[in-house]
Amino acid sequence: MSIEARLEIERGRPELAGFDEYYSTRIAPAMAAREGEQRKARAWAVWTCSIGLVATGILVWSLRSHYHFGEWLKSDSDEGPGGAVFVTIVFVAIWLAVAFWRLCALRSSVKVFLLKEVSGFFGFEYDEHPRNHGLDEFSGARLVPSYNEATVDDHFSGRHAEVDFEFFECFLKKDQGDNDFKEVYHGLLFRFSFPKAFSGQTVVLRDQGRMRNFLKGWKHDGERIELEDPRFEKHFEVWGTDPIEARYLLTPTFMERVVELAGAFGSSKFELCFRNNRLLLSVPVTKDQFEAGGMFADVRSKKRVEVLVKEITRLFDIVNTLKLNLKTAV
Amino acid sequence: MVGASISLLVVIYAWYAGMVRKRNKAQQALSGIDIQLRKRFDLIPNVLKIAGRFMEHERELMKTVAELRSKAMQVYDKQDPESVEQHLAAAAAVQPALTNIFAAAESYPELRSSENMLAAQHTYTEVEGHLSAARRTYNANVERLNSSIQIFPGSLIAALAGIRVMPFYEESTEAVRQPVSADQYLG
Repeated sequence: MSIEARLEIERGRPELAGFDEYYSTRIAPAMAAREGEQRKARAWAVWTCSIGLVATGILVWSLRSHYHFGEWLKSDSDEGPGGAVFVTIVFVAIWLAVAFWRLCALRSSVKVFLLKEVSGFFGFEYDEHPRNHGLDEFSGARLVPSYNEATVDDHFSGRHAEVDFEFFECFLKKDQGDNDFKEVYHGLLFRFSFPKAFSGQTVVLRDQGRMRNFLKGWKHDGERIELEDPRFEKHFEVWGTDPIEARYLLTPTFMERVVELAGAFGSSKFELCFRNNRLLLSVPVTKDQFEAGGMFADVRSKKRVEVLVKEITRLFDIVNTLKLNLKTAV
Repeated sequence: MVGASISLLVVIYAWYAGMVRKRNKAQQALSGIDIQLRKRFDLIPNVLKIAGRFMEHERELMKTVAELRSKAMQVYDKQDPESVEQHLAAAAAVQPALTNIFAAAESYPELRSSENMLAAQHTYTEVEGHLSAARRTYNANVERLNSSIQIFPGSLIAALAGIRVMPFYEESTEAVRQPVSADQYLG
């Protein structure tokens, strides 16, 4: 079997040169060694579930006279489900947890292993639960909505093409009242070093129509800055503290690159901000990122690595398309 | 009738106020250009000093740059469009001349590798980047002002209020249009 048939990655990318060999010598053998562990965890889950089901059946039969099904299901009844139902639910939850904890633990360790290995190939650092992620900076730039609860996962940092970067996945929830938390943001947040020096703040927001632009824009510092590129203006709108600095950063060439990146990301699903001499970028996503496959999928599946590589190469798309490494600073 | 007259006066005043605001914005942007031009002009003596040690045969070129700098630094009237136009034309003429100095420096290996010259070139690129941004800002503001003046009834209100169109800052001088020889770059 050829290497190409084993791993489906974009071989045209210079960043992925040598990845096949890395995969076959480091990742694939380690995953193959865990196959036995997964088989045992699966068998444990099957046995525990079988025993749990039988035990639940016995429990339900024993408590059958205490459920009062006919009474508390009636709409005009004040009767609650009663202690028997509660006991049954707790019992089922316990044996489900016992059945699947090994698979969950395996999934988690496989994920961390794969992310560390894949990051290691590119020379990046990986931290599953980062403490210092700098979410406040994105919040201060208003690239993310206001929130009450934040979860930050999968933090990557390093240097690509002489550009320092870090990025992480972020989930933000807002309290709607009565402890009802609603997710208001799920996305990837990137922070890059930028070759130009600047002191103010320039924000590039998605164009969302006149009314929504106004409602979103007035929260940002500075004034609305209209730029010359009609393609750029069609996708985005710019707010900045200094119109000259905004144009210094958003040169005609850079605007073309931003539009190109918007096309690559499928419409303009990202927003960016120049702040504190760095470029911040927010990319909303719908699916969980960097999960490395489910707990029931074969641990040796190459798909796990292929998906991770595809998710991480988004970073290269940004750096390469925006040409953040250009010292000419055009 | 009275209501219509008041409405008309309100419209005229709003248009007038808008034009004044746009003119002030354009003049503010013009000040932005001057700040960047000052940086460029401050850089020129340093460049000439560094280059002068090596570029004995380029005396004429350096003299031209110095003269253009002096001309562009002359005081002008920001309220007078003709004076602004002359100032911007003089400022625009400096850039190709200064670029020629850096291009000529490529023929002098010692100068090309001089740390001071490299630093000057880097600063020059930075300054030109800022100046280009200031120019775009100014032109965007001038475009808004000129449109409000030239579109009826703006033309009438502007004539009564003495508000005049302002010139764009064009970089394309004759010197820029001259063909560039690749020899000096390819050595």
